[in-house]
Amino acid sequence: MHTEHATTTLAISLQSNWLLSMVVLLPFLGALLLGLLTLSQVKNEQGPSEKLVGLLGTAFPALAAILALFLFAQQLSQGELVWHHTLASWLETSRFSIDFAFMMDHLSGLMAVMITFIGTLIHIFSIAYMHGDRGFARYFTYLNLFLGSMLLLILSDNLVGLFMGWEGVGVCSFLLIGFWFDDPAKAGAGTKAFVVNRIGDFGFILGIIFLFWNTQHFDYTGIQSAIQNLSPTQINTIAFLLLVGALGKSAQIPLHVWLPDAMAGPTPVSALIHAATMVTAGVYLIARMHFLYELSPSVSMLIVLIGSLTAFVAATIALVQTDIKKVLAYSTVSQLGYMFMGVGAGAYAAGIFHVFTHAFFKAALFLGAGAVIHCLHHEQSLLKMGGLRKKMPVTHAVMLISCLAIAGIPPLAGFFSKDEILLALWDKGLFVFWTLGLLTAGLTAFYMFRLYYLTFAGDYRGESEVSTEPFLMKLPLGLLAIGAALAGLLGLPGSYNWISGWLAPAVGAHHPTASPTVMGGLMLISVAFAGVGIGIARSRYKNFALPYTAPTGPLANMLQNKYGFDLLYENVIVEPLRKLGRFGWTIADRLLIDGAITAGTWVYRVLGLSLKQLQFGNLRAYAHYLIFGVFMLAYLYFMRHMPEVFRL
Amino acid sequence: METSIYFFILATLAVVSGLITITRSHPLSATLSLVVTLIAVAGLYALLSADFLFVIQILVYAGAILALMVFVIMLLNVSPQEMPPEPGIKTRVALTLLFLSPFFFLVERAIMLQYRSQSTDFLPISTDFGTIQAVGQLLYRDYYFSFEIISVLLLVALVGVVALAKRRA
Amino acid sequence: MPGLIHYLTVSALLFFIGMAGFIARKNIFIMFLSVELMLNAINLSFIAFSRHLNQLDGHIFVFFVIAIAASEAAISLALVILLYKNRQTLNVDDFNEMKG
Repeated sequence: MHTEHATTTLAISLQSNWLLSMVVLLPFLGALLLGLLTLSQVKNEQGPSEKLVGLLGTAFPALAAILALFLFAQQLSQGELVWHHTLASWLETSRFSIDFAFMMDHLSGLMAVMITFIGTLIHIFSIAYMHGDRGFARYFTYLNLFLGSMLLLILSDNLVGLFMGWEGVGVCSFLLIGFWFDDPAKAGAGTKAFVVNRIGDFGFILGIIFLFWNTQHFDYTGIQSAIQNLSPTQINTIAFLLLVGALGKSAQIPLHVWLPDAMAGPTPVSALIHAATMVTAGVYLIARMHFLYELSPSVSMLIVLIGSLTAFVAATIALVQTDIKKVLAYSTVSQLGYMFMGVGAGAYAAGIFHVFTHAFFKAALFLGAGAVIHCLHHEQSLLKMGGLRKKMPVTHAVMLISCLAIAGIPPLAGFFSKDEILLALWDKGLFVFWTLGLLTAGLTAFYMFRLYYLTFAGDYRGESEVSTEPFLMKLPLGLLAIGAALAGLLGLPGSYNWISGWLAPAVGAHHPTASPTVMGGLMLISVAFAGVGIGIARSRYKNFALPYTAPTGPLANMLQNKYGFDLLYENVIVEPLRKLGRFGWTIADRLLIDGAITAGTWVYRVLGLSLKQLQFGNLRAYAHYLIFGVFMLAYLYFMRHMPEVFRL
Repeated sequence: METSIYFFILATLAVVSGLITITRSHPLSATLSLVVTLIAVAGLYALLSADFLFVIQILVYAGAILALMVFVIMLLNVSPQEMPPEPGIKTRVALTLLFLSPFFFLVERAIMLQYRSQSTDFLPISTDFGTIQAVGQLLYRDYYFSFEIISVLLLVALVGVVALAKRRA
Repeated sequence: MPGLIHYLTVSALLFFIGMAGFIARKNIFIMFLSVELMLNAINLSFIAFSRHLNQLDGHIFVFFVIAIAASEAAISLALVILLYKNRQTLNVDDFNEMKG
């Protein structure tokens, strides 16, 4: 009876594993279709019909979401099932082969379901948000392309496929940040994101090459088995290089500077790419390569250090931001820092759990901000909002739930995942970082509720009229709010932690050793910090009224300047590079290279003038040349191979 | 012995009429003497048991290609005065041959060195060597692709000629 | 009895005669005939080698050479007609506009 069941299981998995490739291919197909549609209508001032584009653009992600959910459900019912499908072989050499092969284990399954689900909701939201935009079809093309690349990144069974997806999402991020490219500032923000990511990707690709060099494998299983034989130095180098890639993509110090500027893109893009999915790719990478980082405690410590610094620094910068999207951007950087703390402390499941919950509440926050911006006709300054609770009740409710979730109020999502990470830090004895995390939690609660009160409480301070949010915005907002409220229940503390057990086959088990009393105490402390943060925000901003006086003093100035990172990079990297470029252009390029080439052209000109005398147009002369050439060839041949011909 | 006589006659005929071809001032007589060369070469093919190519050489080469040539020369009807002035054709050709002769002797010597032992008759072969059936089977079995390509080439030539002919001069 | 070297010698002789005609003559028709002569010389050596090696493939090559000679003849004669109509001459030395 049991064997029969197992056989059926195997049969099902063999029959439907091609669906796995379809999950990845469907969004790409959508992007292709929409791209062709966009190109075919490029001369048309209106662009293709919004209804058609919206329907197509949402249908492909939705189909992918359904398929991913189906495959995930199979996994749920059969605990050990790991989907594999090889779509095509790509590179075949004698030393290695790379396939377009996909693998869906418990980790990538969870990620894929989350990405397609949230992605679909954001596509629906975008239909309303981008309504009437000139680039409506182009926008959906990019968004589909992004989703396909992201799924390739998550589901690929080797590092090369992951890298392709990694670059794909990078390109889409660039395209979507600079979506309104006729504004030079926005186009510049896209370029900045791309260039900063290049630095990270440089490290990443070096890491992949170095890893392959030492293990002869690109696929995870092969790497995992081969890595045991490496020396600690090799492992540390590889771990560090891969970490550089993760730092760039996940906007950690010192490569965090691009993410706040990335808010130049349309708000749903910020929600999808720069909050819920792409920026968490770095965390995913580290969780995916957990077997590597487990062998490299020093790099893991570095991850915790960078993560906690990022979390704290970004949270403090968020305190003084007055642009609603900038607050959320710094909050994202800060939460990503949390995730890094988690995976650095060895609690990979906790890190991924925070990725999961964060995706819901941060997407809800961004979409809520998007709805506010939409209804205020592209007003983003918190100072010109206020009193929107009555005018936008649905958005208000969603934002309130999400703010409570990110602040860490039980039983909403953020509380459990954040607590898991803090617990892991405590467990490891990293009390300094635990304190930093706790402080960050308090700061987070403060600035999120500052945002909330400035937006929704008090009186309306803006001039433009407030319109209501359309249904297509309310629907995704509501669904995401449900997720933000309930996602945390997947990871209740202690032995009820479903998600930790679920991810254990993929990223290894992590059992906290703290006693229930300590755990409870820690929870109380973090809730108390969150409560204090909310309380201060309430007392200061509940009845906020203009004029706003920006805080002064050295500390506030430092925060306003974002700790001077941009200034530092400008002076230390950008300006010297610019000078070097100018030097290269004037001296090396124009004088030396161009000079050499100009001199070369004169040589050829003189040569050509003399040689063209031979081409005087007489056919018979050419025949003589030809026969002379034949003579020469025959002479050479005889000299080499039959020298006795010349001997009389 | 008979073969030797035939070979000698045909070879002499081919070479001598070849020389005549390049020394005539009027192209028509040159063409006609080339026909003699081609037929003599066809005879040499027959001596080498190339039955099929013997027929093709006479039908296509001597028959069709050179008939076309004669046809064109007669169509243009160039009078001897309009011919390119080439005083002392025979001297020029003789001098050219003299100029080329070292190379010829070099080649000849290479042939001798390489195939010295082949100065006597060829080895015996099967009776169907070079027959239409044998060549045809090889052509359609091993060389069918090249054969198809050649047919495309002929088609292209046909189209090209029509295009050239229809153009206003 | 004639052997391979005899046929090759005839072939070489014909080839040299063709070559000499090609570079010595100015009449475009004679030059064309010289090319045909050279082609035939090569054909003869193909067939002689084919007989020598007891392999029929040489015959196939000759067959293809004849096919190519036919298309070449058709095209070049059409060109000669056009040239003569335009320039009223058969002297290749007069066709010398294509120079560097």
